Amino acid sequence: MQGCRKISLAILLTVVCAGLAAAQAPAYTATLQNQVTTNSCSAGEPVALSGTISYQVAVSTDPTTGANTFTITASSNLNGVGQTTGGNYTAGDSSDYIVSSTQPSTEAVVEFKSDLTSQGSAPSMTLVQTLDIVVDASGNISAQVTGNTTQCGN
Amino acid sequence: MVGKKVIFGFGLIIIVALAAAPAYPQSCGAPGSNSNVNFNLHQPISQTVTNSCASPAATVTLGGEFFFEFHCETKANGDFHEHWTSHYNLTGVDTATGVKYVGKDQQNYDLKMDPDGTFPPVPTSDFRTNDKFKLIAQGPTPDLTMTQSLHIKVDANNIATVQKDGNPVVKCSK
Repeated sequence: MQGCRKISLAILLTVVCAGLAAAQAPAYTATLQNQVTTNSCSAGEPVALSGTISYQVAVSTDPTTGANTFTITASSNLNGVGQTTGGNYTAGDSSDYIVSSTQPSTEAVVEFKSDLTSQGSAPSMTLVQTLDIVVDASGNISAQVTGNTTQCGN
Repeated sequence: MVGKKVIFGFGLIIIVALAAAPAYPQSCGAPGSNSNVNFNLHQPISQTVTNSCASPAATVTLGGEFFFEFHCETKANGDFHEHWTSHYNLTGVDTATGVKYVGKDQQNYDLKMDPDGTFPPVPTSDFRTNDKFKLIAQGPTPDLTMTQSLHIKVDANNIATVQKDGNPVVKCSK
């Protein structure tokens, strides 16, 4: 009897852990290595970015329409070095993009904004990264950073 | 002719009918035609947000407009693409301190549209996103970053719907 309980508990834990792993594991992580931003901020400077952008994907299908809903979460964890001052910057943020389509795959080019926070006396800026994302109904994703610009508002 | 409408939700849905004269009222255009459909909406804004960066939290009155541009393009290979730009042209005033904020920002998207299954195919689109825009303090107080969730749909008649999902989330900037 006790043996059965242990087996049931083990199965339950395995199922729970597997579910958590599927929900939490990044579908795809892109590494940036010294990607230099284009600065459009008069008080700012170009910044060489390094770190990661992780993408998580969830796909669901509407049983009535057959349309797929692609839910994409992009999360950044970046460090930067100012190309003029040598100062350090950090950026970390996330954003959700949800696209519905009857097609087996979809493509979205989106702007991903985050604060590029100065760790010194240089002013902080807004980092605008252009992400080209292709995802299919199996949850396979490919993504590229096709642009890095900085802004500082007005 | 099918007029274009943009629906923008602020709690209650406001329907704005734009006096547009679409060249291709039923779709972006025939595949391979490289044709375009354009329209835009200027939506005046008058609302308050809570500045949780201030201590104690303060109320900021926002004025100005959200301005949305939609551009549908038929690629030579037959794909339909939607180019969407959200513009934010805002001013704000902290009702307690009088500190002013200016927000002039935009966010761009290029999405592959979804053919509706008819022949010839008619493009539609349904996506949700979170626009981020800055409110720059006009004084020695922190800037604010606003995140606004939007649900944007374009149906087979080129009717675009912009639904604001909830109120903007305010985050402090350095």
